Amino acid sequence: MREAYDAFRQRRAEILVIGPEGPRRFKQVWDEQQYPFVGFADYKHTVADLYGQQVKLLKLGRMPAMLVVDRQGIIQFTHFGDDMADIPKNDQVLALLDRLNRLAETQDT
Amino acid sequence: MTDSIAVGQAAPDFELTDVQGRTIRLSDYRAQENVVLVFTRGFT
Repeated sequence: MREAYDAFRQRRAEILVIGPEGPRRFKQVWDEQQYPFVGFADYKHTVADLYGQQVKLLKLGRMPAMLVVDRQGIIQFTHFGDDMADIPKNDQVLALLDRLNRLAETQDT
Repeated sequence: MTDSIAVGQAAPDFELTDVQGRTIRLSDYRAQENVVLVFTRGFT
């Protein structure tokens, strides 16, 4: 996703990454990796729980989830992963953003 | 709460402090930018 960040920014999208770590651990990894996204250590899991990120206790961990929220604050896409590697393809999300931006332009005019 | 997380529904607002120490609300982006919310399973 890092490589595609410019493509997301060109589509008027910001990427917010929410992780379960404590703030110090989260920032340590964030700085090491030099991620360009906006990152949050949601160590109390308040937002993850609010958005229903699935926790599979038997698999010892949280499953990845992705949502797209448009400029009106409406959810336009949800994906709750079934396993650790189950995340949507960038192309799929970029195509959705193109559609949302086209729709917003027609509504503005 | 999970029932309200669906396409076509308003995204629940939240406020968190980011790695730069900035307090950011989801609603800060409204009318400005689309938002891709990514929940990771952790860095470990």
